Amino acid sequence: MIKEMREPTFLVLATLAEGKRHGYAIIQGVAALSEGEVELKAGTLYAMLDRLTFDGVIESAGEEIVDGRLRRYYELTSEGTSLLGEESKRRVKVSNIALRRLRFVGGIA
Amino acid sequence: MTQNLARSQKLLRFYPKAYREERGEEIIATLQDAAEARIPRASPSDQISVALYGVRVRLGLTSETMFGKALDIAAIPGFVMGAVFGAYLLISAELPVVNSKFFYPDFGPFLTVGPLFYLLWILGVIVIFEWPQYRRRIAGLCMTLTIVGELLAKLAHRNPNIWEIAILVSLGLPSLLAPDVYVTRRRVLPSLCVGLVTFATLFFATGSNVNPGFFNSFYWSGTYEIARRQPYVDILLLALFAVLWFSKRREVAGATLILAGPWIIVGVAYPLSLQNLPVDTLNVIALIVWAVGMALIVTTSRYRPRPPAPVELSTLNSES
Repeated sequence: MIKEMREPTFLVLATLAEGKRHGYAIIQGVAALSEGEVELKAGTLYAMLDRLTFDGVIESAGEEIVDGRLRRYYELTSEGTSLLGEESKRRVKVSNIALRRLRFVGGIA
Repeated sequence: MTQNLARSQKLLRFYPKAYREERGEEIIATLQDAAEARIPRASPSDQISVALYGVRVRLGLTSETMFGKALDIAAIPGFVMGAVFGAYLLISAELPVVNSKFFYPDFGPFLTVGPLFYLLWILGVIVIFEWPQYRRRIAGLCMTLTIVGELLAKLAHRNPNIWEIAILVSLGLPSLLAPDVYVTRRRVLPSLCVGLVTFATLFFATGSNVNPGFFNSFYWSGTYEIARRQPYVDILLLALFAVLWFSKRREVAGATLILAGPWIIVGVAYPLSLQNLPVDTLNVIALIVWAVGMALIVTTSRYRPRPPAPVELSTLNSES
């Protein structure tokens, strides 16, 4: 049975790999990483943040008030860091195999 | 901006109070940030997603709760169970009616149109196994088409068997309601096992004494036989639930209860709908036990505030 991390989750974790981020900064980070392909909705984001926090993959990293708005920051836990690392390695491995095969066929230089 | 703020605050009413107190201001801030980026206001899809997640939190349908986890476990096996039921209806109800030398215009849910809907569920299972991330959309599509099909059948003066259709549609509900998970789970083997057990149970439970045999039409005696033999199945299901619950496999126990629901409810509702058919006492007891079990799962899945996270304002302020 194959278990694969879904793309939006991978992008959220990859955004947090750069450092702590608040809600809207995560949405922006995901959009930037995916070159606009993945646009997280606010409700989807909070569902993901709740789930990842519950699973110990991310954690709250403090909060502050900016222009009268509460910003809560999130960061990867050590478990989240290793999870993201493993998933990244898996994706790189598969991509490398695909690229090697495409070169073998002669499609890509 | 004031209007945006008021609109965002209204959206928070969808969330339970404890969640609102914990995360409300944070969500409003994110919506306000999004609104500034998309002048003049936050997109309707942003607002809808916030409202829908609020309803999910309120009902305990998130992946952290027992209800959410049980639904996640029940989702694909439930859909497979529905497809197996569809396949059973196809070969045990539709085909005998169509092949019958007599003309029975009132039998079968849609007569010759019915098999199309059953095949849709079977096709749905194949698609869900291949692309489990689309589970919710496929379940929604199959359920909608089945309900619309039933209404059209009624308009065409057919006599759809509402109980079988209710079971079929209910078995798609876990796929529709289960929270999204961040790994895609196929669960092929457990789902196929659930399907096999369902088929075997239907085969033995609906074999009529009057017309024994595999190709006995479901619509002549099927629902009656389900209701009549349901107590035996109920006892097995509730025993399985108890064993799983007390062996601390509570999410699987919850999934068993969710999948047993449509059958147990129909086991009581069908005889009640016919005035001359007595309701089996064991069926009623099973329904009560089922309702208590579901209430237990739903109430333990209510949102509870988390312990406050450590706040490091000084660090954050110095960084910003």
